[in-house]
Amino acid sequence: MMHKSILLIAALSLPALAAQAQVDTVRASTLPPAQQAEKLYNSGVAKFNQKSYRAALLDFDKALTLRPDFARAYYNRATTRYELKDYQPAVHDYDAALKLDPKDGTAYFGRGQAREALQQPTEAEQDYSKAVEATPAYAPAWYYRGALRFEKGDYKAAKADFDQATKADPNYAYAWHDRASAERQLQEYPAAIQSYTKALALQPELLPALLNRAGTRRRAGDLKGALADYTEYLRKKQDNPTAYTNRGAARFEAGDYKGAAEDFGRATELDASYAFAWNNRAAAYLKLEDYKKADADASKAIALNPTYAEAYLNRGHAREMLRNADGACQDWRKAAELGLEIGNNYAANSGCGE
Amino acid sequence: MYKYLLAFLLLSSAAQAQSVEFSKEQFSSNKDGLKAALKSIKLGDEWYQNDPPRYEQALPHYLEAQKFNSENAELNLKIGDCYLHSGFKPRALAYLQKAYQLNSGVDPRIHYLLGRGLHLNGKWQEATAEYKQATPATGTKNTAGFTQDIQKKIKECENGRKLEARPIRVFVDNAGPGVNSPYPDYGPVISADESVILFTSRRQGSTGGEKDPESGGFFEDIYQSVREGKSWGPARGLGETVNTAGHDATVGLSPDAQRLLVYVEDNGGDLNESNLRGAEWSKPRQLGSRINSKAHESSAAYTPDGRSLLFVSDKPGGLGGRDIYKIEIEGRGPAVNLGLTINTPYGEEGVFLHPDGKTMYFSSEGHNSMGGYDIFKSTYQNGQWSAPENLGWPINTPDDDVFFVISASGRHGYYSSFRDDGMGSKDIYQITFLGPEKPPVLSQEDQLLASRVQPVKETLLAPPVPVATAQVTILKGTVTDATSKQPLEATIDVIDNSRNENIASFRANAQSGRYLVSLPSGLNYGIVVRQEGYLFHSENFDLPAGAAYSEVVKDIQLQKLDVGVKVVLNNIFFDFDKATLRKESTGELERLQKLLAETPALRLEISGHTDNVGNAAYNKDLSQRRAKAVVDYLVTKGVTKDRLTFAGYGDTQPVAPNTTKAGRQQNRRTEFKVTGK
Repeated sequence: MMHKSILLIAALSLPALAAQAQVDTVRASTLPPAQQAEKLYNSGVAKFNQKSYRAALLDFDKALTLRPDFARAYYNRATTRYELKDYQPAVHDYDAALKLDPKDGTAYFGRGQAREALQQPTEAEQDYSKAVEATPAYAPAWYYRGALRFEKGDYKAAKADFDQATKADPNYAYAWHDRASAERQLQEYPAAIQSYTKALALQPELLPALLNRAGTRRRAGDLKGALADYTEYLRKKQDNPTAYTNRGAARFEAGDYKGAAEDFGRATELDASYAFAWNNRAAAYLKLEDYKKADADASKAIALNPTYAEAYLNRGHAREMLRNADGACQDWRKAAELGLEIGNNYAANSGCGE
Repeated sequence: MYKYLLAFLLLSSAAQAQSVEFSKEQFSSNKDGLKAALKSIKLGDEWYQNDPPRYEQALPHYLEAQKFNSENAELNLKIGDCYLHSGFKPRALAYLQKAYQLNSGVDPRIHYLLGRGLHLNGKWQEATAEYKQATPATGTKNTAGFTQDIQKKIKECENGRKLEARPIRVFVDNAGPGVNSPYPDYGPVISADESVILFTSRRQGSTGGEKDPESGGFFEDIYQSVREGKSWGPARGLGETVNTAGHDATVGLSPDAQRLLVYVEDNGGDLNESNLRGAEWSKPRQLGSRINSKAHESSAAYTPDGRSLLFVSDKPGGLGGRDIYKIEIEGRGPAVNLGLTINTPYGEEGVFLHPDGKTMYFSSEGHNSMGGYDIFKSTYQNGQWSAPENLGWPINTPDDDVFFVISASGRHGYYSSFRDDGMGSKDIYQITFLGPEKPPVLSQEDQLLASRVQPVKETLLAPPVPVATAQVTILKGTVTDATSKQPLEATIDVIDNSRNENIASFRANAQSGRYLVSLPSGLNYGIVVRQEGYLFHSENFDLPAGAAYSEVVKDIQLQKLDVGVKVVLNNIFFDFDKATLRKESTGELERLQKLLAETPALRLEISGHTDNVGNAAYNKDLSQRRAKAVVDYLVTKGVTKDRLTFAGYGDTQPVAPNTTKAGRQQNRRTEFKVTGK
């Protein structure tokens, strides 16, 4: 997904770059420095488009030496440096570009991206805000600010940003998708289901939308619809352990413990280090009253993640039924220690320590 | 389709099967075998046709004959009928079904008996279908009674179906070879802390060694076993003071296992009481005519204060069958019927009161029983008993489930049952209550942002289950002489501090010094341990309503009155941060006053102590003012001033480390020191 998003930025940045490149008609040898700089600039753009980032960088460097007030060259060098993952120098170049042209929405956006890459979400959010202020029709800026706000847990603000993004670009599948997620977090399930559906219509290969719509349908109490979505996803893509795990959880909720155990098992086959799948299969085995297997699976989950409270709790349940009272008590208490308070209740109710 | 095929097969096999008679024609080649089989049948019939029939004695003979010819409808029916009246009732079904298959007209009672067999195997719907076809036995006069009986059994099947659909989670374990024998073992009663079990057994070696001509088994004797780790130690008889040559059976035991209620056959069935004196049980004494009528008194339980009994009697004037009554043992009033909420027109039996004093367990044939007696639970709240709640499947079965007791913690119950995995005949089983199902917890994650790789984790956590512990505190330990360390048969008074009322008194065991008191939640208890010639010892347990189960072990050493001896007054309470005595202190102050009155030469220093929290000078002052408040109180009650001194020691004389809450609590105290006698 990350890979895709970067391509998207490149694509979004390119129209502007391409427009600049159209001036490349001037001969080099007799050119004054400013025009030479433009020539090098255009060469840099061409190299960027061929993904020859290092070569592009050299051209932009030279262009800027010849013409230090070349705002677009700073912008493009920043973008190139972003591609080379040189985020801090990229930020500097965006700074320089913005100094020369403080109204450049795309430069704010670019700096926002670089700052996100530098794990500076607050600064990134400020940049996106400047970007939407400068260019309200620029959908990605709304979108990325929404994502940051979503990650902060401010789903209402996130939803408003995704709304703006879809208004600016009604075909922006990601924005529809994430708006759906914000709605889901706000427990506006019917709206979320609609938004996911819209995202899927715009971009049928955006398969996470199927998974997330399934999760939302489950929350809305439509287990059947959820299972249908999961199954549809798994028909198209069979290598995602999370999808199997989540369908397993839906099957579990529907009382199909055998089917659930199968799905969790499939997930562990795809990724033997996926602790959730092991833990969940332990839960399914508890329901199937196969306590030995439940114990073994929960132990596996704990081995993968020694601070996995849920797995301790489940293993406690299994051990209680296996008549290993001491083991059960230890596990429940450990679960409580790791944050699942209820473990202490279980221990107290089961005469632990008597 | 499958169903039809099966029905067809059954029908065709039924049509093919034919009863094979025990006749010379059938067994011309094995006349000796036939002769022996016929003899077995004859012996069996003698018991079977006895009035009343002796099914258990008839059964082995019939089974012998069955070995020779298993295809006789009448014999299969008789075996089925015998099993229906045995401990292993579910075994009846196969024989009854075979009898019907061999000859559908084998007996006019066949549908009724099949109904019983199916019912006892928990085949609720099939049993109902048979009951609906049942007709009374030939010569039955009371057809209305028969119809009523059938209707009740159909209702029981309905109850059973519902109860089995939501089983309760338990482990049922054989109490083990320390307790159980190849003979019938039943009627378990336990101390509140499960350290002792007493039960009834009809095993070999019973007192007198005779067999009961009625049942053919040994006479009942009472046995006792002590817990050794996770199992029960070897059982031993209570000795000839309690066990007679006749039937002697356990009925009830006080929570501290110092008082035993014994059933004897006298006077139509009576209840006697035996007390543990040191290591010996006393000769049971009659409980008197207020409790024992000419009718059958069969089961009883002490209230936690030991002053009243709940007991079962079928004396006239009840609500039908056996009923549960309550009576004050040493009082004058008559026994009070527990009323319509508890007692039904059918039988009630096996009453047991939890040490919390408000949760009663009993068995009943009425309410929503799934067949025979089922065990029920009712709670005394706001002056009345709650509607009885069936303990549920699989504790209750279609057969009789009676004489159930439960530990103070509520974790373990005990009862007896015939089970195929037993040690022979009826055995005692321990039930471990697992509580409601503990929901497993799943984890999952969703990648909610299209442009992000980081998934959002979520745990689908089920709602918490209610904490349902027993609401009682068990205080136990030993009482000894502080100097000689010898056990003392001290008296333990349980006092309600808010009303300054003695609510119960117990004695520590003379030989071991052991004591146990159960303190139901909801009161501020003063515990006073006293013995002639010793200074009293006081403990305090403030247990708010709803306080969860706990078990506290406290060994108490009583001190003789001597100069320099110190006693902590745990039941003296002050307002927070003040030297004002609270009214809950009255009892303790009165005890102190009484002690001074009884020992005119006694001189005391009353001292106050604090923990190390706060300013030392302030603590010293507060402790001194508090000590003075006690002295002032005693002086106003007429104690001469020169017999008393007071001192405030602040935190300078800790009795426990100040590093823990419990330690600080112990350090905040009022105590007295003997300064002259």
